[in-house]
Amino acid sequence: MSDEVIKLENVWVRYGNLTVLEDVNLTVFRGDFLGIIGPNGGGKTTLLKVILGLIKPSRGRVTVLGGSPESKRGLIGYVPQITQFDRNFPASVLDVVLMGRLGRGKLFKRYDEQDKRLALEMLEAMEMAEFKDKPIGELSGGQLQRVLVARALASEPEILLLDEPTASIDEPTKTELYELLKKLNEKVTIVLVSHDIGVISTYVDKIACLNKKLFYHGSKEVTTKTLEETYQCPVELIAHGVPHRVLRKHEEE
Amino acid sequence: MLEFLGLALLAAVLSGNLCGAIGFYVQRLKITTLSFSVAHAALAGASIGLILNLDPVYSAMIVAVASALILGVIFTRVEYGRELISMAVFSTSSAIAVFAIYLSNVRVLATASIAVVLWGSLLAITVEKLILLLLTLFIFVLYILAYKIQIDSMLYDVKMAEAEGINVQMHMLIMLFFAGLIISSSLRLTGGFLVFTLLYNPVAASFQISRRAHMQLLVSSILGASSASSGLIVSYILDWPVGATIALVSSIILLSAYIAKIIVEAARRRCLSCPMLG
Repeated sequence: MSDEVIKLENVWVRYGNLTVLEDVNLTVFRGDFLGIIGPNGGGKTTLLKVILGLIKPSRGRVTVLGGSPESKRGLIGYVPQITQFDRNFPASVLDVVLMGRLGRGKLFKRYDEQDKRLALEMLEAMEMAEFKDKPIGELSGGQLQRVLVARALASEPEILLLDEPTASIDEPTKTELYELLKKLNEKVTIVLVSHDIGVISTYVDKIACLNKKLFYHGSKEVTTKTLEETYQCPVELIAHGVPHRVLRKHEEE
Repeated sequence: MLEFLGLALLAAVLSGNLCGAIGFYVQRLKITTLSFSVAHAALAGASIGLILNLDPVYSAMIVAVASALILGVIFTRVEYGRELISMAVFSTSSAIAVFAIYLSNVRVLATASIAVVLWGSLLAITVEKLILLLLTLFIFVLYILAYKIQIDSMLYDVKMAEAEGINVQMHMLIMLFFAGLIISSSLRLTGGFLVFTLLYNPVAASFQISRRAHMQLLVSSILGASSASSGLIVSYILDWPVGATIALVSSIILLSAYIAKIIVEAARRRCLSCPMLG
């Protein structure tokens, strides 16, 4: 089907004896805003890396935009967790966003006016244009996250993958970021992973639960039973949105 | 005499410049321990050259480049335990170097052949080696210019660069290839035990001086060239071992940069708290 932009069929990922993903099947359609939730260590980041072709599945098949993930990398924007970044890297905000324009770079390529214009447009879309000359290391968590989204968008992707975009940012900034993503979703297919089951459901239109196995029914309705299977513990949902709690069963019970 | 000194000085500038530049890249790409292992593999190669009666630079080059490429391939396939692999290569290379020196016909540590391999020598610089350095510099600069923006992206975040379609594995291998080539080309001047000081000290000093990536690369290259050339002149005047003198000068430059940074930051803090400015 032409509308299928990501398709995973019976995908397994193993590191030695450790199974990280178990028989995962997932289809993402053009225009979807899919949220993948699950506990830490449940394989969410691995799943994104499989879609990007950075990790080869031990078994199964991955198709992205009708081809192999490696061949379509230039069409995928990726926003990794900001905790992985070198905060002391000596570059300005604009330098970092411009790096998003390299994927299709040729030998001896230099950034031209179009690259710079697009990078600035993306910064404006993320409401970060005024910080373009600021050293990247001086930004707050939320600001850095917006810059990284702008960088991913600068490559003019068809799919945007985000890994825990709201980790280490405060609640009002989280809401602002989700609002921006919702707006971006009018043009780009978005897959977002998060361990945060609260806010995410307000903005995404489909939710999948991942803890080695993927529970996905192509909608955003998630039953308590599915959540309990995913988190491997009883789940008490305090509210729809924030705050939320995921409680582990006490030993003595 | 002047001609030989001029040759050595030119070689020192080129070696220092190349080491400072590759040092910047290996540090930023977080493959420093790997380059440390490659430097010792070069030492092992040079020592093997003593047994086989080969020019130590070429035997060092073969072993260094081969180990760099092998390590590079392993690193792209292994997620954990990379440091340990590097250290295993480092210790094995050091052991091979010592054994090769022991097994070679050159029994006295102060002889010119051993000096070239271990401590470096002014006398070891020839026109041929200078051309080799020039050629290495030319190819290295060409590569950096051709892939400048891709390499810049890798310097910021390797995983992100790979996700954006940059052939990270290829660039890592090329960078390691150049590390092997540059280290073995510089071996004659600094010796196998001290060549890595030119890889690390100038870049560490550049981080104290500048906060911009491109400026750090430039400063690291300049400091590498300055350390090597001034170390060479000092060693000539005082009749000290050239490699050790270069290493010492580069360490003094690093220390000076560090102290200068502390002084400048203290002055800046004082200025900020100054009532006139506040």
